[in-house]
Amino acid sequence: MQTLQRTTFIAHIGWLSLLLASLVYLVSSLHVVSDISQFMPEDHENKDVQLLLDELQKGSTARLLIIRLSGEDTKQLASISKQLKQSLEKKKNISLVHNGQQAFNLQQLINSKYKLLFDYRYLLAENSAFSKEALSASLKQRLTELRSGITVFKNTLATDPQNHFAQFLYRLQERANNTHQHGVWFDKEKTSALLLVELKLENFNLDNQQRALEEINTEVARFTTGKSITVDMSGTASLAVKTRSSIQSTTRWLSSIALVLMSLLFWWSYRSARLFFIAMLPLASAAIAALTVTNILFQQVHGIIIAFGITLLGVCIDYPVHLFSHHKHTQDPQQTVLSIWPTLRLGVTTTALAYLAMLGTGFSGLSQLAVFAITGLIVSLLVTRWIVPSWLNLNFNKQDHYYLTHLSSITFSIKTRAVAAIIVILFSAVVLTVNNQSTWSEDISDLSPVPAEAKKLDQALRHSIGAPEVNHVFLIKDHDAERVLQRTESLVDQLTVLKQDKRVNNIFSVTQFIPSQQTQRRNQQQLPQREVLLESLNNATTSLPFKKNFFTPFIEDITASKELKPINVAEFYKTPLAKHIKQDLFFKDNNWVSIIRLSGVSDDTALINWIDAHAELKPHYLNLRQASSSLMSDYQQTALTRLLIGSLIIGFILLLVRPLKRMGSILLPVALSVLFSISIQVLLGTQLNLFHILALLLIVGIGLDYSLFFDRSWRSLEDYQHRLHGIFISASSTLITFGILGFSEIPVLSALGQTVTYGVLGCFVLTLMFNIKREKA
Amino acid sequence: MTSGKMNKINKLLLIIVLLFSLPAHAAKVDASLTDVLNLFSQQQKSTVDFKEEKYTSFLEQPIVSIGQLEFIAPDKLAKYIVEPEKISNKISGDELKIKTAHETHTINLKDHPEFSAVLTSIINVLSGNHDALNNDFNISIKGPINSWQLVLVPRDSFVHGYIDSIKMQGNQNKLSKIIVTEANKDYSVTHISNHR
Repeated sequence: MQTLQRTTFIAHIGWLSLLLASLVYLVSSLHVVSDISQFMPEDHENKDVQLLLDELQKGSTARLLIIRLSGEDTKQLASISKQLKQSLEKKKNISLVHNGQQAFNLQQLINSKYKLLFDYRYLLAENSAFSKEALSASLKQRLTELRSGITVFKNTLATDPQNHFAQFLYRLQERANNTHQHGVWFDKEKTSALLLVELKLENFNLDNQQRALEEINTEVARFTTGKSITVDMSGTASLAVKTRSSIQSTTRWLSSIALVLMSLLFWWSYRSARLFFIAMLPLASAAIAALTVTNILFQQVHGIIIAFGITLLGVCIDYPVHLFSHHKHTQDPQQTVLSIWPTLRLGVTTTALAYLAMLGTGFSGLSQLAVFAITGLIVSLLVTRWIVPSWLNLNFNKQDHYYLTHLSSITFSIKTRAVAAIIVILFSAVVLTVNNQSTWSEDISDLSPVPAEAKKLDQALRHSIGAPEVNHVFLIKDHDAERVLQRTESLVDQLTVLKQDKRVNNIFSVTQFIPSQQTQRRNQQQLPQREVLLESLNNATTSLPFKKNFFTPFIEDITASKELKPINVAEFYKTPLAKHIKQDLFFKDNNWVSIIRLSGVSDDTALINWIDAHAELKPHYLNLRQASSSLMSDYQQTALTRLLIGSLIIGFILLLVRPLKRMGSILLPVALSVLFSISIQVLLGTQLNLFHILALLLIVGIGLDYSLFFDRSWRSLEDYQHRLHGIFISASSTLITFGILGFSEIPVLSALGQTVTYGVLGCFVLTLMFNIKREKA
Repeated sequence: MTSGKMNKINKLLLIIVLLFSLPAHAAKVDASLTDVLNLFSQQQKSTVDFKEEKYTSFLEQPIVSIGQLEFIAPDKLAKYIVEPEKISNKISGDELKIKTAHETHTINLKDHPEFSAVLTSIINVLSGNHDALNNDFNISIKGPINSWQLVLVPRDSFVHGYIDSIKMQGNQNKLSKIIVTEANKDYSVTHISNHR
């Protein structure tokens, strides 16, 4: 007895100090990441896909927010759009607000930050209009403008009579939405005003994003309160924040409901609320330890893993429940735990080994999950074994319920079992065959924890503002920026035929704004010699009313341009245009990356065929949707294979410790439940993804515990009823938590919830049916 | 007492004389802005011919344009240049549409007051919108009602950076001349005739 107390004491010291150390470590070092790209394989063959995904998640594209105002009359919306732009641009977290208002006041521009670009105007664009006729046409056009009252170009007329610079800047406008109403952007239906906000955050973490969003919301509310205006906002930052708050609120209501229901369940079964809190000890310890070990091994924990961690609840709480249910008030809890210890140990070992199969796939997400689950399982087992018993009162008593007497008296004949098995198999076979085509999801966004509603809104807003397409993209990278630009230019040249044939609407590339130095030199060479220009200009102006020598500054600028050293990317990035093109050319992992985007692709298949026929283009072509869906199926394939390997491991271990006949009655109900659960999902029209596979592994773990406990021999009917009680309470608690989870608006959690709910329901019924009821002689 | 009585009579006479002479006197005094604008506000629609001469520092000769102005109360104004080339400027509400043979520009007036100050001032005079006019300009008026001269100086410093002043001349509710002087001393003179 003394040794026992000493052991308990040492166990408590060890447990508490490890818990404390873990908590201290987590507070200081826990690094939670939430974007999908980090859940992706590290060494996937197509690194470009990852690069692009990463850029979309964290690059300049991710800093854009789209705001849509609708509801009032368009005039009112336009006026609010303008007021918003003005007030938001004063905020320190916002770099720019685009709403279609003309942003360029040419006169002011040329004197300020745009001076450098203005000086380089003849190098940045092609020069073809220097003949007498072309010059004459330009000048007549300027006179028409003067006559019509357009005076914007009046002050640059002497230096830039062809409006060369203005035309260069107008290329920016082509990139955006072009539907205007009352001077600002509207959607195509002209019912909602659109704004594009660029966030300026030094540290792009979630808290900063949330703060910036709150600031924007306050401003928006200031202009819209009291009016019947609907404000929709979306963008990467907004989605991330929405997802976090959705996960937080889900966790909050989920845990409050679960807490209430579980307390009721415990009260009903054991007449004790205290036991419920004791049952939480293994679970809480498991969660803390699992987070700590995962973070130590991977230097980060994916948010999805944490969400999955909630579900560990399903298994971990079962261990103390079995202990409580097996307890007789005449027995020392230490003795009770010893009596069920071999079964618990076998259950945990097999499940943990099954999770081991998820390691080493190259998919970091799966590895993290395996580590998280294995740590959690082992820790909760250890806490149940060494800590929980000493917290139990000797005289707690579980309620003897009528259902137990009833349930324990049921016996199923071999025939009934066979019929049940055949029904489940037939049902699954039919469902899975009929839905053969659409069983697996190929959309990577199905893995994202973003609520479905938010995702839909985001797509709608992106579409209406004409946000860059990511489905057809050409990617060029090199250490040397100049080489990247040159290759981009030649690629764009090859693609131009698509635009001519109207197979695409437009081709966007960074070289529209910063041509390679090679091209700049070519543009330079197109410029006429001073004398030639002078003569053409004199000829062009003879019949026009311009004063003599008025265009001398123009001639001077052309002459000076011929001597300019071409501008490089670094210099260009210091100009105000840089922020407009950062999504097209950026520096990442020691490479300059240029991205060419196509918009308005008329026929996807035709385009892909065309690219297939052009061998030199193909290596640069990325179809993000296609690439990510093949990535997804790889991922799912791997996970599925590992799930099978895990199951084989379980079977193999059981083979070592149990006779073949008993193994059948242990494994068959679990396998049938997995089949049943997956078929129900398919029947409900859910496309299966990675999380369903992971949920299956959870079902296997839970079902195996039930099977193993049913498999234990018993001395008396009371003994058997205790076991049944434990399994019944375990199953009920799992059904409560996962049932609630099934209603979550976060796709990942609801997938887990629903799958596990049906699976555990199947496990309980089928293990009960298939148990052999071995009475000890 | 006699002198007192005399005084009373004199005063009475004076008042009578003053009362009777008042209308005659008023006819000679300068017209008030309210009078002029009231006359304009009674008109719902008007069309006139114009000839505009634009004098610009870098041009040897002025740019001369001939055409029609059409106004429909309260806020529609169209300026059609017919010679030497066809250009139309149309204002409707907040929107200015400029159409030349090659291109069309749509400009929001609130975004570009420098573009629209002149046309808006004409609209506000033609519609007799005292408040709007007073909002945009410091106004002075002189001359009798049949030969008044209005001087408008932009209040907004941004607009004033483009437009120094707008002078309008007219007879009752008929505009006869508009002179716009830009900040850089370029100016235009628009002669208006054939009111209908």
